[in-house]
Parts: sequence; C-alpha cells; structure tokens
Amino acid sequence: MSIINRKIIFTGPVGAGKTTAIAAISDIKPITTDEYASDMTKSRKPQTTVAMDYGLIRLSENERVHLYGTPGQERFDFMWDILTKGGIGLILLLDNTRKDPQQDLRFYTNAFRDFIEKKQLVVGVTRMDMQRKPGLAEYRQWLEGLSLQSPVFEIDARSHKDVTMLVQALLFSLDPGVTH
Amino acid sequence: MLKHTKTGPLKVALLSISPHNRAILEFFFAGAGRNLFKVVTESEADVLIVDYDHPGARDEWEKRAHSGKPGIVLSVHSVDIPNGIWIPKPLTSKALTEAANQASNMLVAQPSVSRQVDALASTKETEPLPSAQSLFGSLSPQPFGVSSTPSKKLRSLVLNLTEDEEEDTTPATPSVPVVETVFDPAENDISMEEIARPVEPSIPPEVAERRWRELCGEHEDVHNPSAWHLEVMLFTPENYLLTNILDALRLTRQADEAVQINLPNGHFALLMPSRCQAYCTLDTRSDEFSMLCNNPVQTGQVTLHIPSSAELNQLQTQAEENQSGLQDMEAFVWVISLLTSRGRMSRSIDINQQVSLKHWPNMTRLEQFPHIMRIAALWNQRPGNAFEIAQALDIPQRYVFAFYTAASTLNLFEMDQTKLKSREKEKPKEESRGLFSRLLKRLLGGGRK
Ligand SMILES: Nc1nc2c(ncn2[C@@H]2O[C@H](COP(=O)(O)OP(=O)(O)OP(=O)(O)O)[C@@H](O)[C@H]2O)c(=O)[nH]1
Ligand SMILES: [Mg+2]
Repeated sequence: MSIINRKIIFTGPVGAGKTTAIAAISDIKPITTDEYASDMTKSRKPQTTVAMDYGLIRLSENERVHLYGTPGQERFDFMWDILTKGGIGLILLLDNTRKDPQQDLRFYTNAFRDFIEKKQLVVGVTRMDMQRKPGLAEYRQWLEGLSLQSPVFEIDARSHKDVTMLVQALLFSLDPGVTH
Repeated sequence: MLKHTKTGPLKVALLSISPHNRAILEFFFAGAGRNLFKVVTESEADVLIVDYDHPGARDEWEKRAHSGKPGIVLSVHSVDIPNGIWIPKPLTSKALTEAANQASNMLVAQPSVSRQVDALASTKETEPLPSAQSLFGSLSPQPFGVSSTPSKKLRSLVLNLTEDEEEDTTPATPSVPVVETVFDPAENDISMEEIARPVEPSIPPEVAERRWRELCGEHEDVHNPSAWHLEVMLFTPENYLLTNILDALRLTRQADEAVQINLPNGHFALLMPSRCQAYCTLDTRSDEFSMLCNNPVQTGQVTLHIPSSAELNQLQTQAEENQSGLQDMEAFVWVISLLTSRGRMSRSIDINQQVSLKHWPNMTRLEQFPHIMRIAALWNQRPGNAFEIAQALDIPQRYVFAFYTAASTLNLFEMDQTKLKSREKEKPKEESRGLFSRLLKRLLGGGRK
C-alpha cells in the first residue's frame, strides 16, 4: 500500500509561534529534525540537516499530513525538495509585537513567492492580545500592496481552534468544493 | 569541465576524513556536486576519498591499495601515490569537479575494476549522467523567488567553497541556487511521542442551530424572485440600529477617537479605534441584544457621543473589568449586521451585481455560521452575485445572503466592476479533495483521532 504524504509549511520570524501552532494540531509531540542528525549519518545519505520543527497528522493507515516549521534563516532554498513533494500550502505567522511586521510580511512572501503563486498562502497574526496595533486592516492593505489576496486572521498560536481555522482557510482556498 | 558523461555520478566511499572537510564534502555532494558524486558503502564504491592529514588515514589507504580502486586524496601537502588523485586543501568545488573527471577517466582505463565494482553493486541501476542542459534544469527550480536561471554558463555551477581561492576566475556567486537534499522526516521512519489533546467541549447542536437561525434566518431558497419574494428577501438598513452603528464607525474612524453609542435601557457600546475593539454592556448573544438589532429603532432612541478623556478613562476601566463585553470591533459590527439582516440583503445594494471578496473577514474572532469558509473562499476567487455563489456551492441561499450583508457592512467586497477578475485555481484532483475533507473532519472533530 503506497503512503500518501502531504505537507503544510509554517514559516515566520523568530518567536512568531510556529512550534506552538504545530503542537496545537499535531498528533505527535513536535520534534526538531536536527535531533535526528545521527540517524542520518548512519544512512550515509548526503543530506543536510536543518533544524526544522516537525509534526504529523495521521489521517489513516496510508494518509499523512506532515507539518513543518522553518528555522529562522535568511534563505529557504533547502525547503524546495520538501515542498515539491506533496506541499499543500504555506502558513505564515507574523508576530504583531515585532518592530516591523510589514517588513516581515514582505520578506517571507518574497522568500516563498513562487510556491505561494502555485499553491496557497494564509497569514496568521499572533500576539494581538499583547499588542492590538497594527490591526488587520493594515495587514490587508499590505497584502494588497503585494498583490496577494490571502486570508489574514488574528490568531493565538496556542489555540487549536485558531490554528485549525488557518488550515481550513488554506484548504477551502485550494478547493472551495471540499465538504466535511 | 563536467564532462564525464559515460556513467552516472561517481560512486565514492569516505574513509577517514576530518569533520570539517567531511562537512565541506557533504555540502558539495548535496548541492552543486550532486550529479558528480554519490556516497555509497565501501563495497559499492568505485572510488575512495581519504583525508591524508587525518591520523591513521595513510594506513587505511595502504590496506586498500590491493583493491585497485582509485583514491581521491585530500591533503595540504602534495601527495604523489599510484592510483591517487591529490586535491590540495582548502577544498574547492573546482578541484573536486576536476578530480571527479580524472577519477572516471582512470576507471575507464581500468575496465577490470569497473566490472568488478558493477558486479558488486548489482541492485542499483546506474542513471545516465544528465546533459549539461538538464543538469541546469535540476539545479534551477527555485521556488522562492530568487532568480531561477542563474547564468547560461556551465561554470556558474561551480561554487566557491572557500573565499580565498585564487585561480578560479568565477566570482563567488551567492545567488547560485544550491539545491540541497534536506533530511525529511516524511521519508524516514522516526519514533514519535503521541500528544494527548483534551477534547474541547462542543456546543450542543440544537443550541448552535438556534443561533444560526438568529444570525441567518430561516428563509427557503428563491429562484426568479417575484416582487413579493423581494419584500421578504430584502431589508431597509435605515430602520435599524445597524445604521447608527455604521454612523458611529464612520465617526470613530474620521475623528480617530472613541465613540459611545447610547442604547435603550441605559445600555451602551463603545468603539475604540486605538485598539480595534468594541465594548458593549449588553451580551451580543443575548435575546435582548438580538431583539434590539432586529426591531426597527425610533428616532432619538439611540444617540452617539464622543466621550471626554476623563469619561473615556472611566469607560475603558469599566471595559477592562468586564472582559467578556470586549470584542474585536469588526466582530461587533459583523454580529449586528447578521442579527439585523437574518439572511436578508440590503435594499440599498444591487443584488444582481457581480462582486468579489477583496479581503477575508477575520474568521477567528467573529461569529461563525454554516459554510462561511467556503463562501469566503469561492467569492474571493471568482466574481458572482449571491445567487450564483449559493448555486455553485449548492448551499442554502440564506447563508450567502447573510455573508453578503455582513461582509459588505465591513467593506470587504470589491464593487468596482473593472477590477473584478477570476482567480480560480485549477480544479484539484479528486484524491486531494478526499484527503482535504478527511483532514478537516479530523481537525474540526476537536482534535481527536
Ligand atoms: N500571548 C501570546 N503568546 C503567544 C501567541 N502565540 C504564541 N505565543 C507564545 O510565544 C512563544 C513563542 O512561540 P514559539 O512557538 O516558540 O515560536 P516559534 O515561531 O517557534 O519561534 P522560533 O522557533 O524561535 O523561531 C511561546 O511561548 C508561545 O506560547 C499569542 O498569540 N499570544
Ligand atoms: Mg520554534
């Protein structure tokens, strides 16, 4: 029986809530992939280890949705392999208490631009409970300025319900005909 | 330069190598050199790589001399040994590339070794080495917006591994995409600890359904509406609290100041633009609030007021002490629109006009009703009127009408006919739809398995 692997990627600046969001919906306790570096050397495969967060939702015996959190790096070329094999879409988390969330939005949407064009982006703004401004209206304007029409919601990364909403928006954007 | 086209990547095994040089090699093998070298077990290898400066490395190499396999020897000093190719340190991708070519030439010159090796490595078929063009192809997919085709020159594949390389005239090009193979847990079996997530208590279905009736009404679908139908389907916003709220909203945005809305029976609401929040002394889920929204208001029953800073301090303190009365300002306007319209559309808009959803409402913070996500998603992707959206999704019209009213109140629609365009994606395959649907079921089932 062949296994179907699909992937959802969480990205965003340091502390935006990527690990927390993955933990909120994963079946397993999120791990960091570099802990598995030693296994990797044993297999002698020429692979680079990158400290990504990883979580998993098992839908059935042969269907899995893998959740990845990107590390805080400047470039994400290394994600290409992972994204091209079963990537569903990108969830960008932005921390509303950071100095320049608009700059963060610009940076991450640019870094993943081609993937976003092919698939789908949804944006979650975290820590709005700590700082209300900028508001969602600003984020919408910024997205429009970047010619993106992605959903943007206020979320608390600790909330299963909020993170689920982001995933719902992602899936329905890809296929409004999905039923549940 | 990358000219050994007879076989696939050179099968190499790594003997003793310092961690630093090993890291450089692995980096190169996973990236620019992935089509030149392939690391395999020693018995499968055609060529051995050894770090001659590493303790014990010379012995290790000598023990293997009888195998006849060529060696690529890394060292800071010149090394001249039979069947060996010296690469001076620090390592460069250029030197590694040349060594790969030299080693394959040596293998061709010693067919006995190759045959013996081929027999050993019997299971894996050797892939033909891609042409220069397809080599580019494999390096150029660049999903992240960095220029996708770096240069038409083959040389640009050669990446400087060290900064101080002199002979190589190719400038260090950080923009050359290095496609690395990253350890992917999806493709490895790793042990994982299950999370026990408490099941969140869900609202009983009859309670949820009652609320949906308050928000979206109970009207049956109408097709080809008659004048009588229109009477039922449409409402006049000017008769309701909604209009006062919209006036307050305009005022608060223009003045960038908090606005107090005095409601009947001593209740009030406060719009606070500085924090995009609204405070209301009436519970927006109560019957009293629902009736207030859904019954016409008399002139003078509701008044607006800009509080002085002293008043505002006092009101805000009150709000802080009653967190349950505080909510997102858009969510407040949203629920009032819904309670007012109950699945009807405003008489002041053209119900047949094509519109598309320019911005998604803040779904996580506002009251939900059935199909809301699908309505938003479809309307965000393609223009249509409310009837068409309901038909396309095959859902009751009242939910689409409710969405239309509430999202228009928040100005989320694109009404400019010249800016409407369809952004519908290609229809996903059925298998994705099944998987998406199972994923949603799982997530919405409270996180249980
Ligand atoms: N108050 C508040 N805290 C939040 C929210 N979202 C996440 N947090 C907290 O923020 C902290 C950082 O979250 P992480 O999940 O570690 O962030 P990350 O994006 O993985 O950060 P890095 O791995 O360092 O890049 C955690 O303590 C979370 O509980 C939110 O909406 N409000
Ligand atoms: Mg993290």
